[in-house]
Amino acid sequence: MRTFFHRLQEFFSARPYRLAHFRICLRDYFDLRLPALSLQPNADHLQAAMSWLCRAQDATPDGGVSARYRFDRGWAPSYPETTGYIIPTFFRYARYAQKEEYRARALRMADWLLSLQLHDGAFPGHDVSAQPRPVVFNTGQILKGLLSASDETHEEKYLQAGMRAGDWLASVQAADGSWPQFEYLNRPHAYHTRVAWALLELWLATRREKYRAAALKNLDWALERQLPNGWLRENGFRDDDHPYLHTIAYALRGFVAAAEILRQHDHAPAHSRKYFAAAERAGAALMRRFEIRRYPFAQYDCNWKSEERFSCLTGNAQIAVIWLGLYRSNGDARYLNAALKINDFLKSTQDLAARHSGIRGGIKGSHPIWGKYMRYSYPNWAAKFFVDALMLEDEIMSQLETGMAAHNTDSDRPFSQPSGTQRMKDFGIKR
Amino acid sequence: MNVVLLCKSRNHAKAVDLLNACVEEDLHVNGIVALATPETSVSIKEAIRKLHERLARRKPTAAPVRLSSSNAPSSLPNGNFFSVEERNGQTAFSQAKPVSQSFTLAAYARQNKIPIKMAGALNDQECEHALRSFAPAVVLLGGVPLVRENILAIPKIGVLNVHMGWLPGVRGMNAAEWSIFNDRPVAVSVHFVDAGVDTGAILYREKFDVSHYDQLAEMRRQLSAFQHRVLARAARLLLEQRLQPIPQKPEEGKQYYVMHPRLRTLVEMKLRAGFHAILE
Repeated sequence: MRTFFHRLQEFFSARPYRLAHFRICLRDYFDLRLPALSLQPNADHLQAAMSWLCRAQDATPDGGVSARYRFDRGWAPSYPETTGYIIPTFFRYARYAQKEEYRARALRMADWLLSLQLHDGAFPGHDVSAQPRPVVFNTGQILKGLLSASDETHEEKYLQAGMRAGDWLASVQAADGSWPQFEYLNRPHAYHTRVAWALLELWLATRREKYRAAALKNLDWALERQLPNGWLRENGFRDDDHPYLHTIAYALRGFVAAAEILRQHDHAPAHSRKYFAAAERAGAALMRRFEIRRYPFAQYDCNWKSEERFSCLTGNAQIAVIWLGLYRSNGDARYLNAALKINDFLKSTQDLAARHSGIRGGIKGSHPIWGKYMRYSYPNWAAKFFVDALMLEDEIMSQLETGMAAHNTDSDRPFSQPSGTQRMKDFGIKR
Repeated sequence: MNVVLLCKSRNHAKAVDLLNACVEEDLHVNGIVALATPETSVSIKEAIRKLHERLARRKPTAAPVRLSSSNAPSSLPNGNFFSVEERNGQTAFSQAKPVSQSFTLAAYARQNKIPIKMAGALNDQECEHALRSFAPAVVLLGGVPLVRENILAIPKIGVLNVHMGWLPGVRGMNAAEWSIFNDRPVAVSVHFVDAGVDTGAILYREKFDVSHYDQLAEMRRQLSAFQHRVLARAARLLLEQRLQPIPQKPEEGKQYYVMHPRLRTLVEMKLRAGFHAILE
């Protein structure tokens, strides 16, 4: 009963009487996702999502990106963590669309982040406040943004700040490789593999061994949390028994990216293989669930079952990126197929025609919008991962389509194999 | 030994096609169990959603189709119907279904004196009783989804299914398309049905030459007819004890799912480019 009243209270505080909000609630109630109308070319969806992200940046005065648009309170303050990992997305999109404006925006974000660094090298968690508290995960995500700004500009300030952040991360790591302190609820999470990924990138930029060692220690710790069916323990924000797809995908992304970096730059392929295998175990289980149920659910228990009947759109976009990464690595087209479908699902939830600037082009936290994850809001990280997923889809599909078109005009040439075939051999995987 | 066909009454064209293939292959079918389409109640919410989808799918209306005097169905020498449409001033011939397939399954069974029993839904008691009444040695599946243990236990020899892919490599949905996508030969496999998806012991496999096709839809149509003939042939050979089943190992193949339209387009491009050439 209490839950019911709480939900009711949330519903009315979301101001459903506003026409823009009412329209979304109505569409979601009847699940009026219109594939025929809503599936436009990827470039249109990308443009809309990027425009939404630009509006989110412009909604705050500091150069950071507003955390989310909320039905009840409008635009939220800038959020350092996600601003950090939005930076590489803006750089990539600037190249994709060949628009310098996005690069300039990314640099504004990076400069804002520099102003937030604490004296010990850490970055504050959550919203900016008068008493900032250093947080491991957020520092790792901001580190990614700084490294991409450093790559892009070759300016020393970004790399220096990144090294200070990396030093702090290494200094607060526990002996077993986890980060139990300076973290949400002060307990370690398997999704810290994303921090390990950032540290591996820092190792690539500086070649300082301690960053690589810290990253591998954490990845091995996370690997120990994995069950034989691929599910990861200690991988939720609060509820470790039913983690969101969002945090599951965080952890898997760390594994995939680390495997790729180690494959290319490390002389110990065993590391690369085991992390890739970990991501593949979970990625395959999620793909199977998605294909059989034909709906991407938001939370999964240790048997990959879901009791909730809503979708975590952020997690969907993240898992699309992981499936596309797995396809690139092992050439198994089932991952590509699932990624294309889940991207279509996401596209069908994006409102391209709304007049409201907080809604048009944004990606909801949950579908329907009253789902438990980021209820009645449009988080910036959902739009960011959506853009990542569509750009990667376009890149892979254009390679495939170009290869096929070239063959159509030159019948003597053999068909191009899926791009991952050679890499799959490198990973020692039999097809 | 009795051979029984288990199929959906809604899929009558497919079932009739299979029955014709059985006649061609000298395999006598002793009975048919046809599953009725279950009536489902649709909620108002679902109805509104579907209506909305239908409206969204409705394409902008072009010039209406003009029916000319030559538009009345005529018959071709092979007994098929065809009709002529004039659309936007252009004439198009569209071939209708063969005469035999325009019958309902029940009418076909009556005409050919094959006992037919209707059942509610797959795997339910009614279906089980209907199948048992024929005391089958072999049950042939004609486009029905996953069969449960209670049905699998009925025939003396087993339940046979035909799959549009080379087992054990390509299991699951859109197997022909996935074969082309992965540069593998297009084939059909007849196998015993077990609790898994296309994981039962393999009885018979045959490759299908796709070199004559440059359109996926046409290839699938011909492949569908081909697979029915192969199923009938395999069943006959099995009854003549000339086939030895080969068990499958789960790790030997992959299960595929419905192919995304963008990948289907690639498959179509591959087919047009003469995909068969690289397999030779």
